[in-house]
Amino acid sequence: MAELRGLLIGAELEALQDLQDRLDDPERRTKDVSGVLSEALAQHAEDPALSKALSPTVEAAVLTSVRTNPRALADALFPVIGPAIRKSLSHMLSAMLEGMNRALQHSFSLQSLGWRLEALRTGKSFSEIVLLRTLLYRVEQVFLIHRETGLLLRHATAEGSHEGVQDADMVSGMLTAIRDFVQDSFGGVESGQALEELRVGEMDVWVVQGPHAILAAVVRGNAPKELRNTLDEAVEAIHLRFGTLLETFQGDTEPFAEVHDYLEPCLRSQYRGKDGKERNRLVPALVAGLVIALAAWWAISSWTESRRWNDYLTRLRAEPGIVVVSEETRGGNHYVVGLHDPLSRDPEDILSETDLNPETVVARWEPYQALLPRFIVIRSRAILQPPADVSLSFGSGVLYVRGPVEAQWMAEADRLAKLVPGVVELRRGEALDAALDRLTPEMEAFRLHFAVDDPEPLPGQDELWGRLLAQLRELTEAARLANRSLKITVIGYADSSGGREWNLQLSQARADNVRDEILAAGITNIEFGAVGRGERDPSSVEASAEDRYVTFQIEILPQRTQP
Amino acid sequence: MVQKKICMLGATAVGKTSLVARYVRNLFSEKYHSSIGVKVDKKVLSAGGQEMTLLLWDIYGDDEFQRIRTSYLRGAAGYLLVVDGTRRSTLDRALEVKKSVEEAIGPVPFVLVVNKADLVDDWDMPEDLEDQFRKEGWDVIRSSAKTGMGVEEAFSGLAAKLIAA
Repeated sequence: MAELRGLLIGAELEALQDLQDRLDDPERRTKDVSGVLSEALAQHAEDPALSKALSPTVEAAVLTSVRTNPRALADALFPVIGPAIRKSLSHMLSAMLEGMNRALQHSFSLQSLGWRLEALRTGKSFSEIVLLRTLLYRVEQVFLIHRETGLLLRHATAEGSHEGVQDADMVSGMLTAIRDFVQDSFGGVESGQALEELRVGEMDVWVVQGPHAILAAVVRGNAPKELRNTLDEAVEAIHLRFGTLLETFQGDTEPFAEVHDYLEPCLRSQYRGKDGKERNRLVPALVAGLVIALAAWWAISSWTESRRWNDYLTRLRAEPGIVVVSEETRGGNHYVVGLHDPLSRDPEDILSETDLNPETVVARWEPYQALLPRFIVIRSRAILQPPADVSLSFGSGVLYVRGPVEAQWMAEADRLAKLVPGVVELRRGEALDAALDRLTPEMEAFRLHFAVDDPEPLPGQDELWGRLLAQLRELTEAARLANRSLKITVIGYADSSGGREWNLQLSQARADNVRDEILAAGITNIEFGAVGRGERDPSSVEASAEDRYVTFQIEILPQRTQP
Repeated sequence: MVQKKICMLGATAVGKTSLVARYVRNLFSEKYHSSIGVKVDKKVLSAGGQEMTLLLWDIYGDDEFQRIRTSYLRGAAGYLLVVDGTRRSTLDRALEVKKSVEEAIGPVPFVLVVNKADLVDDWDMPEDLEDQFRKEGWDVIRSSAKTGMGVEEAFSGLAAKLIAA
């Protein structure tokens, strides 16, 4: 049986076996499939289902490629990435700059405010409105139309233009029909005359004619006449380059792809520059000027006010018995808080001496007692009620009584005095300050006179001497009580007769003599100096008796004497 | 991608415009007929293995009172000649139009479209006349704006002739 089978269907069996082997052997199967794989794929090249099926595989493949050999993909993309990035960046930058530029240019004018409102109202972006309103002119579209058939050869639109590109071919046809219509109806005798311009509102269509093709440019705004030259040149250049193609045009627009390079330069535009803005600068300038003037006025007036206020404060602070604790200027009012001794001047009086408006000043004065010698004396006087020719003075906590008093009064005063704030002790005598106040003017006006060339004082000035010595005694006593020392400089002068050297010597001698005499009179506790100052009046020519004298200069020494 | 200019001609009220209305891309309204006398539509189809764009110049009806502007015919690669199957007179008119066209732009490929084929009762076109035309090598197609019959055939028939030319 097997033999029979083998004879009858031997060949078929072999073939079957071969087929079986093919299916079973993965290697052979792969080989077989690989033979037809590329063709099979090619047949389904456009099939979206195949793309979809392959997509995850391709993705994975790219990932693997990047991981294992990043350079391969990088190299492949390199020529593309650089230019793409540059282009995108420069686009972004220039758009940004333009935007910034425009925004800056238009931020501060009334016109731009109006435009912003318009933008809000119409829902367009501000920059769109700006573009629309500052546009002088713009070529939005250019058509290159085959003259004979009215078919569209090439179409170019300006960037950012919203015009539809879709039916440019139909528009070309209609435009040609219109041209034909107009020329048939209104054209002149010459065949060369053709429709050159259409105008609708803001839009113009400029038509330039060549032998085989016409160029139609859609212009928004007012373009200068020289734009027509640009169009003319473009038409001429196109005819030069594509002349034969134009003549033999049968409807295939492929060869005209490069016409685009001739159409692009026609898409010109011009925006209003600074000129248009000048007119509007006036108003914001006025407004700005007004604002500045107001600001300046406000600044000056507030400075003046603050100066007045500080002036008042200075006066207050200078016044004995007034202490300024705090001050503030707030909300147009001035506030001051301080201490005021009823014995001192009324701050209100001081206020009235300034230029301040009293109603802006809000003051709070707390009463206090200032321990100024002057005030203490006044208070003491009120409490002690000294007799008429008794004077009181105060220094360093001691109240001095000078003048004739009875012992009884003194005892009483001694008790009462300690009730006066600041008074520690009551004594007979005079406070040094009071004494100085009283005596210094007299002493410094004192003149002891001399004869010509004589270092000895003139006789007959005993009374003067007596007074001088008495005053000096009072001074030294006061100094002693106050535990201070004085320095008195005896100053001698000479008249203008005699030489300078001689006069210096002479005046020194005079001073020395007077000093010695004072010391001889028993005045102690005073440091004496003697100075000769030479000619009293170097500029005078005549010798004058007035110039020959000695006077005194008194100083309190800073240190205390040894007790 | 190839573009061709074709015209659609015929007497007034043969139904040219409504016939093609649904099959072409419209941009312009019919008012252009009465103003400048032509309206441009677009038909995109596949012919001979490539895409073809037909710019269809729908020219207003021609009768005793109006003449065709021959300037509109300029550059046409072919045309559709449309007649009203219920009015015999329109056929006579169409023949005159054909003559004018050939005088203007020469013997250009065309398709004769007999419209309103749905109005069977009013049919005014003798059958043998159509056969006669066909014998002369003309493409004669019956159409109906109502049913849409024959429109695509008219276009593709004309396109085929354009390619062959």
